[in-house]
Amino acid sequence: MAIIELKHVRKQYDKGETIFNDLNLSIQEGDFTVIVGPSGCGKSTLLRIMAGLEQVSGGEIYIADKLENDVPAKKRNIAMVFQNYALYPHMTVAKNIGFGLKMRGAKKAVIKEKVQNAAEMLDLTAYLDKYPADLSGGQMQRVALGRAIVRDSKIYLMDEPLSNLDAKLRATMRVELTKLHRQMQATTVYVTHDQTEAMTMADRIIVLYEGVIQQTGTADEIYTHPANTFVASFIGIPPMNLLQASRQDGEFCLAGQPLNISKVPADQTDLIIGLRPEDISPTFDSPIAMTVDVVENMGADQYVHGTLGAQPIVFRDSSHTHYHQGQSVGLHFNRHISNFYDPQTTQRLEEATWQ
Amino acid sequence: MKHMERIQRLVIFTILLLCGVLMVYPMIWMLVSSVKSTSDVFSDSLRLIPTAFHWENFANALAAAPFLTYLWNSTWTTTIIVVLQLLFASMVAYALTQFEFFGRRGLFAIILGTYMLPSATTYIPSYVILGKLNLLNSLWGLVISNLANVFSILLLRQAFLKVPKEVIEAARSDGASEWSILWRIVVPMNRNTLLNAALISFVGSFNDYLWPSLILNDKHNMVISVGLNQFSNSLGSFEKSFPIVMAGTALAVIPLIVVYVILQRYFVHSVQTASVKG
Repeated sequence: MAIIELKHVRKQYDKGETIFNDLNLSIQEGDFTVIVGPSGCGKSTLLRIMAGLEQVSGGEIYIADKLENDVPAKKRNIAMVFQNYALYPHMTVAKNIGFGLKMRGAKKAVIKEKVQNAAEMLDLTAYLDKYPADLSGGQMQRVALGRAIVRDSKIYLMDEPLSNLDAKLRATMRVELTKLHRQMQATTVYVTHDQTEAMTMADRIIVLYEGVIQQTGTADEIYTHPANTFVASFIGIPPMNLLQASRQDGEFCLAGQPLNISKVPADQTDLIIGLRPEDISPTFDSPIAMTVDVVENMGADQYVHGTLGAQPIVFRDSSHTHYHQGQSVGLHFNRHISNFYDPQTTQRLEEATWQ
Repeated sequence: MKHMERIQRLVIFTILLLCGVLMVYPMIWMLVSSVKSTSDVFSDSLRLIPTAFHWENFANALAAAPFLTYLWNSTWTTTIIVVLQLLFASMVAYALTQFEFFGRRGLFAIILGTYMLPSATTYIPSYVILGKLNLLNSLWGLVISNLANVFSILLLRQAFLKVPKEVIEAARSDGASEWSILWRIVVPMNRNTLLNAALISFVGSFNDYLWPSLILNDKHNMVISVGLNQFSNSLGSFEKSFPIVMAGTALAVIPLIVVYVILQRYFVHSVQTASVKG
């Protein structure tokens, strides 16, 4: 069941800047949905619209099947976690966590119990009497989470909650958040520009770019079959290779070699081949060969960057082979997964497959 | 290098010390003069230790004019004025910083404009209004005519602007009303600025002379600034009664000193605690 539904949402600022024109999306109850996109794509605005902190210029917002366009933030039973924690500096950790309950008229004993429970869940019991200024970034983030979970809200909105933490803590918190979500079973909408967070935590990912939803799906779906070249290059590290191929004598060729691609619309003179770095492997007997430029050693494997003709290409290699600059390496393409894109529309050609 | 630093420090301290003495000296002189005899004041006026202590100057002053009434009048009116000024200034500053409404900039420009206006220009219209309200020669008239303090509004607006937007929004999504956000979040976060504003406004109101002197006539209604002037004029010969006037003045500054002592630790460090990570 969809718990949040946005229909034909339009958002325009007074100065005329349009963020969304006609945005439709639905968030399923209980899902951990991640909205991911580069900075400035409108993802935070989208979250703030759901929270009621931002008014829409048009369209409808349904929360649990109720039209809530004009319901202010304080009346929506939605808990929000902010990027910079937004703790109340003059209140102790306990007061910070309990503030939402107090504002909603909960009894003192109830507040105390719930704060205690949340603190135990988040490992904050020892800090309940401390002030935010005495806490580390990770602790402050946990207090911000505590402030949200104590509310027993049906919906949690999180605006880049981990982006102020260092890489190690971020990795720990990703796991913690996933566990927390499993425990609470509450609908969570999580906004991030970090595709690793999206891939690792999400039940469903919404990729947003320039105010338009590019693709919605599970991490797997989005990773294996990106809907367009933007998603292909945005999700995945290193990004998917996008190689231009053009028709020669009716056959699509790369580096002069025919590729055997079928079911391409007849009027398509060019197309873009999408290949994940792990779907390319080195081989001795391929007529398609790249020139190695840079090798990134990642420990378990290495990313071999180079050029194929004039096009940049990268493949992932776990064989610990030593490559050197200028070396020519024959390439083999894994043909199990077909991703072909129209260079004009940038959209995926759904029918086209490797032969 | 260390030697140079020491000399530099010495110079700075000397200058600061001189400035400090210059500032405090009149105050000390007033206190000392209040226990001197008339002849002492004029024959040896720079002397800081009187030849004899004339404590009876205070008794004489208290007998000659209702100083305790004046002090009480000043203290309660000023306290109410400060509390109400801060109440209204907080609300205005909150609206100016947190609400989006038509004419917000215009409103702020007008408020700023009235600050530029010399207060004397408002005396006649204010007097007429108070007269129509039947509040002339009344301490409540003094209170009501002082409810708005533009300086406090400006001071609080600047402080409220620095409250991170997310903190307000977090409170909103925590279910707090605007009223709760103002009093439970914004005001406590800016406690020091508010206390600063309180102190400045207290001193200003307590020392205000011209306006109260225009609207207050009866002795039992006078505030200390007006009463003191009235007293010093009523004594006739200025030279003869000078120590008694100084005794009255010394009484007049007691509430200010009390307030300053209570608030001074906030006065010194008005720094907002960090709440969000940048």
